[in-house]
Amino acid sequence: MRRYEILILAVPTITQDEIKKIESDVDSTIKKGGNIISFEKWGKYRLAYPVKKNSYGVYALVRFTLDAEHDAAILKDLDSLLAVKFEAIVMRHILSVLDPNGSLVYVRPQSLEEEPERKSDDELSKGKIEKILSKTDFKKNTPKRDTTREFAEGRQMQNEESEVVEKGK
Amino acid sequence: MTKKIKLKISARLLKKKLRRQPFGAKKRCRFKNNPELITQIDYKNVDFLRKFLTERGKILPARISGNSSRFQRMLAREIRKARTMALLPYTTIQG
Repeated sequence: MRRYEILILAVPTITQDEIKKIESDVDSTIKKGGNIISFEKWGKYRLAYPVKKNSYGVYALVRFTLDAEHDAAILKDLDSLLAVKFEAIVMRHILSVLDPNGSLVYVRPQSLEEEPERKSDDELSKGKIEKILSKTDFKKNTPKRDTTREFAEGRQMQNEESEVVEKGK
Repeated sequence: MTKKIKLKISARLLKKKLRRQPFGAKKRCRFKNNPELITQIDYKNVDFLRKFLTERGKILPARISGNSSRFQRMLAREIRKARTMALLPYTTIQG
């Protein structure tokens, strides 16, 4: 029984639903030949350098044990899961082997936010927003502005004002 | 006038090292015989690893940090892992 851990770096705009999906998929692949010890969400961090044009990222640490028989296949599955299936969400991941007898205590860096706060996008609300946007199609509905006339009018106004001021004097 | 004898290369290097010694007393490895510190060498332990980087983000050589070769290798491995996961920078040059 070997102990492994995967540190996942995800996009900062990740939603709770997506995290749950990753968790459940990882869960189901690992259960075929092992047990999960822990799935910890670290929260939002500022990255040391921009990754895929994001300055922030959300980390998650998965720790699990695997039986010696099927471990190679399961690790391959996990890798393809994180690299291919969740390609848009997961930016980086790294797998490392843990000491089977060592302690599971570790120190983690200070985070900016704990749990990612964004709630899932409702399908309904998405539809609503699209409708609203289509109604106010700004290019179509606004009347064409006659800019030359406006300019001339503005000038007239200015002249009138100056006349008034002179008269006032 | 004595002739200047050209020493062999190895002897020259030894002399050079002897000249360097007075700058700092013999540095000891902080990890030897210290199992608690050894467990702290981990790519997630960013605050601890930062002590072994220069201000530019480069890994300190063993002759400056005083680490023995085994622990220098472990440390460098973990620093490089942390760098790939954007926990530590590769470099901090500005502009």
